[in-house]
Amino acid sequence: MLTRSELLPKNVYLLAVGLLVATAVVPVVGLSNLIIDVMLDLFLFAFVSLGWNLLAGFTGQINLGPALYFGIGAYSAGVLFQTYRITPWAAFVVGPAIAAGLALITGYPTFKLKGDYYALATLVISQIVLLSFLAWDYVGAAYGLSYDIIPFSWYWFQFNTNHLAYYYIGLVMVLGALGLTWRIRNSEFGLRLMAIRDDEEGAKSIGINTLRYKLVISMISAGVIAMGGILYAQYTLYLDPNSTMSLTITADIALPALLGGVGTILGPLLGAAIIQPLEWLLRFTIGSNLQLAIRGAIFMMIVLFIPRGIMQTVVDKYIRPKMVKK
Amino acid sequence: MAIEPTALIQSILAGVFVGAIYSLVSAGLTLIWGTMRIVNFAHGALMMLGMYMAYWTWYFLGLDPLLSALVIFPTFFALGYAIDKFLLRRIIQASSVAQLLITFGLTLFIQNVVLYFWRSDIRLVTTSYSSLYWHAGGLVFDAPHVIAFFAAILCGIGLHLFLTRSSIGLAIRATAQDREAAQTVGIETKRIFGMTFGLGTALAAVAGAIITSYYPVNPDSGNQFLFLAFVVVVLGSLGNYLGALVGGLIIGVVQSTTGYVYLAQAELPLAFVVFLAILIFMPEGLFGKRLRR
Repeated sequence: MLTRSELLPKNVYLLAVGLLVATAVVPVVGLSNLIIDVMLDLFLFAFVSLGWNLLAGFTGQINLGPALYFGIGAYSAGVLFQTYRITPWAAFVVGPAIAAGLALITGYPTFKLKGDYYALATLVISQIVLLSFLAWDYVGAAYGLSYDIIPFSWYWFQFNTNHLAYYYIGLVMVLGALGLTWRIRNSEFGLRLMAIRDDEEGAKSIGINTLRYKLVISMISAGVIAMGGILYAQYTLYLDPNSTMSLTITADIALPALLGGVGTILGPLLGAAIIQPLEWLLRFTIGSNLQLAIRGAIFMMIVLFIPRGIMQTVVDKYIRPKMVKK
Repeated sequence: MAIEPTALIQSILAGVFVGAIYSLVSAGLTLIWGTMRIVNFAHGALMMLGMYMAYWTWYFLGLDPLLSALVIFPTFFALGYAIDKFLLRRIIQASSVAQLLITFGLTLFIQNVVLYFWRSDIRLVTTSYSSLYWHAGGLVFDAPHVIAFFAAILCGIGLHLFLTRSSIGLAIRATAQDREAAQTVGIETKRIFGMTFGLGTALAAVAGAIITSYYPVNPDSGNQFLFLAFVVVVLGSLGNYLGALVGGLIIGVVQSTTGYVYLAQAELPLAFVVFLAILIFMPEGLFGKRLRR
């Protein structure tokens, strides 16, 4: 069988490098603040969707509560800064650690559940944490946390006078998540995970401890999503449970991967590159309610027409037939 | 805080009254889940639509929600049948996650369209008995809750008779027990799926309609019922409508007594913890798979 690199013409790599250089250089030349903010959202949700895809893609487990980890990350930054006046960069240690810990504790019982039961259990767990945060004074309960605004400071991770700094942090994070996905995919660890996804009993029979593998990847996935929450907190500068942990955020996280292709490396990025600009456009033209209604319709259409996402559908329709001809 | 017997009984009663509504909503959900194997995320949104229909028929025609329920039932049966025919029938063989995602998308769609047209204003139906209540033995019975409770009981009995006496009801239960075997003996399972989704949707919508005399209508009204229905369905054993009817009462009472004895904010998290515990420690629920096997 041909490997993917043999299938794709060299031009594709040139195109990718070109796009990357363009995203890195063009903002310096000058882009409107609006476009920088749209790109920032694109990077953020591509990043968390890549994180979600680590678990969903490599193990086939659909977690419907990733907003929980997103919120944990956001709140870890918010509490460190607002309550203790510690640099929010420290949240990159604290947030992912708490998120990974929660993934371990909740994964241990829930990974025994099959398909939709697992999805429902993760959904309900995120709801429990959401409701607890709504009542928890330490994190500001339902009022949430408002940041003290600092114009521009690397130490305090706030760049209100120039969003370009957020932009580049977002870009670096996306590249990091892509690299991580690629590394795992080409490692023995990744191969074993995919073996579990494709045939769990078979994987068990050759001595793979399937539960341990799922726990490890779910902890990595949770940690990545938490880091996305930190970036969100640092540029939104206001947190409350409903805006960081609700089902809307879960949809934000899962939709790019579902659209682009669960289990592919570039799928979540492609999905976010389609969804985020589209949703910004819709929000400005027809308002956020109809935008969310259209998002619902997109969900349904993905399942009906491209259940395996854009990347896989393109591979099946256009690239695989070429292989047969050869 | 001292616990007074009459106040405790009062809160248990409140739990029974609201629990009967949970029962009805959950019976619809468990029929769909057990028969079609589809986790219907849109159940709460469809219930909310039922509440709006009751509200608008009251608003424009002055119809009492109990009467409009008679119209809402066939309307939502048809709506559910159409949703199955145009949406779910195509993915009945797909993975359970795909099915969950499609009903999740449907929920987002319905809720936000409703939000767009009718905003998040809270609407309440006022009927001739809205502020009526009775005293008995130190307890207070307010008419909207009592009337909705008896309406729910009637619906529950009707559902039981339908599923045990009518040929369609029997076919639904047969399909739930064993899809292939049902097909072999000549049951058109595709049509049965449509009937099941129609029936489940109609039950949710009617349950929504009969509580509009005391429960405010807004685009989020169905959410709490949806989550609690998940709890009830798993507690009462998946696919077992009798289990759902009993489970609804149990969850209603547990919820209201938690609110009284401990803390109102703890009601919902506690129900969710119960849900997780059941999923993990007794996935068969309280009543086993009596209906399925």
